[in-house]
Amino acid sequence: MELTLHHIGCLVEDMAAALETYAGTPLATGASAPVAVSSQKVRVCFLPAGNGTFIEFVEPEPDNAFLLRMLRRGTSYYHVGYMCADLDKSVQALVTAGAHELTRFQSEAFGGRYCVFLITAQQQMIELIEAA
Amino acid sequence: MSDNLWNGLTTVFREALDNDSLTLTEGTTAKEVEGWDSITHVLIVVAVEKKFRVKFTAGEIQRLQNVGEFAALIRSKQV
Repeated sequence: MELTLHHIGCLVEDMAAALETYAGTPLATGASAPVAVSSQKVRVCFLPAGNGTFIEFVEPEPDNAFLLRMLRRGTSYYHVGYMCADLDKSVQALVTAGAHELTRFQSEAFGGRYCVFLITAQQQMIELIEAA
Repeated sequence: MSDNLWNGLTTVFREALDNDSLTLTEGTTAKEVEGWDSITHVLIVVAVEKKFRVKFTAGEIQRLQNVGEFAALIRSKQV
């Protein structure tokens, strides 16, 4: 199971306000345009964090009850995203290790490639992204 | 059903659903509880696994119809 760290997901209430916070700093340089990931009821954008990694700002839509609950609790950084060459094999390896699959979807943020969210036995969220 | 099991289960549901006044009965189903969607269901399952030191299969999770069945499943794993 070969995984490459791609991003750390960070919940934000307001994408524009979050980006404004970093305006003029190195973090904001090269930030992607926000993209709606319709099936997940979020908008996301990626801020380069060095060595091919990113911070992913995730703004829940008003009807995304799950992520809005997390925001109300004060959660900010909440998942780690990895690129993987073989998505199903990687998912199976984590499930065998005790994780549960949360959701599988095609992401507009990754050109329609498949992504899978899992939660580990220690309640950490992992996103696996099908490599191009 | 033991009070410990029921109290622990109630605590997990209240934390997962962010609802301190949630009251569970054996017949409570996901449709009756605001916010108990498919993702929250898995989060509840993982929180229960951690709290009660048990492990569920995907098939067991999918077959659950109400809270009473969930409690019975936990109890069966603790034997």
